[in-house]
Amino acid sequence: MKILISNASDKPLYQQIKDQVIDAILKGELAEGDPLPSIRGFANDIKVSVLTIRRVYDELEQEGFTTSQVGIGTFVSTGNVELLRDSKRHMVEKKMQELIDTAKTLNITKEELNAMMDILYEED
Amino acid sequence: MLLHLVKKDILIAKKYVLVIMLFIIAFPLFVTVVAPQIEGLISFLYIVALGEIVLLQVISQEEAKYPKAAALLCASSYPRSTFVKAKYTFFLLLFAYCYIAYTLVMLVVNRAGVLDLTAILTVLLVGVIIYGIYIPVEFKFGAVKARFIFTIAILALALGPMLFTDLFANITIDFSALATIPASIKNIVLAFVSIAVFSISMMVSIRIFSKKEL
Amino acid sequence: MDNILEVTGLNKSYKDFSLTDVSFTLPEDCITGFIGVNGAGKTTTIRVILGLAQKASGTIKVFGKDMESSEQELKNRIGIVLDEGYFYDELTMDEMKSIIAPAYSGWSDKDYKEYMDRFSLNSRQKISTLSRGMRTKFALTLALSHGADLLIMDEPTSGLDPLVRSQLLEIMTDYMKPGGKGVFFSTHITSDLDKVADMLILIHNGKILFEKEKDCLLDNYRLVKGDSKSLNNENKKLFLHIQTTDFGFTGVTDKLLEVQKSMSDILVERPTIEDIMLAHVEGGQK
Repeated sequence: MKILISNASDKPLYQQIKDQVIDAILKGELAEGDPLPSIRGFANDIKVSVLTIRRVYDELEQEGFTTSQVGIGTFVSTGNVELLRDSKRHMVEKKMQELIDTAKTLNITKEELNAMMDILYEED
Repeated sequence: MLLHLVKKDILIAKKYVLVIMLFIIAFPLFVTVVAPQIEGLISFLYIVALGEIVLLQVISQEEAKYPKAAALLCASSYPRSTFVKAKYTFFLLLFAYCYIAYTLVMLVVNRAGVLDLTAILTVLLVGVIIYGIYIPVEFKFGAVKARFIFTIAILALALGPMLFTDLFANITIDFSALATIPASIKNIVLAFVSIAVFSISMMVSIRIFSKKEL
Repeated sequence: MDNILEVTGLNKSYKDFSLTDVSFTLPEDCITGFIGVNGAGKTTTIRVILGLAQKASGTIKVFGKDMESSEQELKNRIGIVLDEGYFYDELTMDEMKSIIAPAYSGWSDKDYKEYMDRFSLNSRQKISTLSRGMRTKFALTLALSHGADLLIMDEPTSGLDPLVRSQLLEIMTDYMKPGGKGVFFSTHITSDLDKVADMLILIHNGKILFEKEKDCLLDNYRLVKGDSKSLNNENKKLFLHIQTTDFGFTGVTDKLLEVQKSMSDILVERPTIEDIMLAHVEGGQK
């Protein structure tokens, strides 16, 4: 699994990590039932705080990507991943985020963006 | 725990402790040979008073050189009260050593010089009074001020037997006036007062030290 | 997740300095950096926690238990590394150990020897002959050899060369591995915290200015650089602190979006912990 953290990015650290873990799961690099690294080991290796990794793991579990067993560890959840892989919602969110980022750098306001989306959406 | 803190006091002033220990053996011998008139109670009193006060001062001096060390010990799970009790335990142990050393020397040199219980308890009381005042003063005001007061006392003690033999002769007369009281009563009173002063002093010291900033 | 250390409402007054309402919490499994400039109150706070100075008011709980009522039991589980001059210099390390070890029920001579080896310390050496770095290593050895669950350290890395500092930080992270432990260390060298800290607590003039997760701090604050002419009375308020020179301004803000809206042509970077700390300290002085 490749996790690269960018200091230059505007995205919060935990978000970057979480997104890349989800990527790895959806692409199959982390297979169903595979264990995730220990919180402390993971934190040490990528040089972030344990609290951040804990938040990532908590959110991954909440969103159904992983399950954790006390004392044993956190594992990629089985059965769910198919559903989640098919969940376009995540991909849509990703695309929307890219859209918003680009819009901001071009100083396009939220209202203008919504207006553009209304127009484009109707064109289907 | 207690004994380890006593050991600490001895460790930090190792060399001085050794010297004084030897002195405590040497002095009675010296007295027997050179100044037999102050043999017995006076001689024993001298080694106890000197030993206790000098060692106490030397240990306090070493302690004062490294004040943070005491802080580290009190930040560990050594209770502050044990820190204080160790000083008092040291007093008792040193007293026991003085008595044993003195008695052994006397047994070898001059059996008549071996002390009776009343003499021992009298010296104990004097020691307890001196020590019992000194320690709380030191905890409260620090080693330097306490030492100032008592250095003067030591000087008087050192010169005492030599210069004021008349005075001591008078004291001997005083003691013989008390000789009419049965020894057992004297012993009980001496022991009781010793224990009382010792305990009160220890409680006061513990109180003072518990509030002290380290 | 339990709290290893809970400090509530600590107050302590000296003639020239006071701790005012100091409160913070150390969660389990975290390395917490206690930062502040010299004289901010870091050492005083630690001394009060360890009972070396009496507090005027407030509570201190360790492992959920009150320090005042369970002092000996709790101190038994705490490893301490204090700033300079905490040993009897005339003793050898072994002699000093023989005094400290009996205070702790969990003392392990095996651990002691392992650490002494790891640090290349000769236990028969007199403490007065040790360099600063070696003294700190020895203090760490003592602190780590009795199964402590909480390490409290006051400026452990100051005066140490970068190699020794890095070794120390590595030991801190190793220490945390088994879990259920906590480390609380004060420092004014913020680069060490960048590497190992999970939580940061900033103290200044005896008051706590913030208590935040390090990554959150780095996520929420930004360093903004731009033309001094872009500054006006309105947007100045968005910054925690601004420094202006003839060539532009540098400011620290947690309201990046608003700043971006109110001025253009700016450079945005992630700040270091030092930037954030100084901004809080200097900004507070307005």
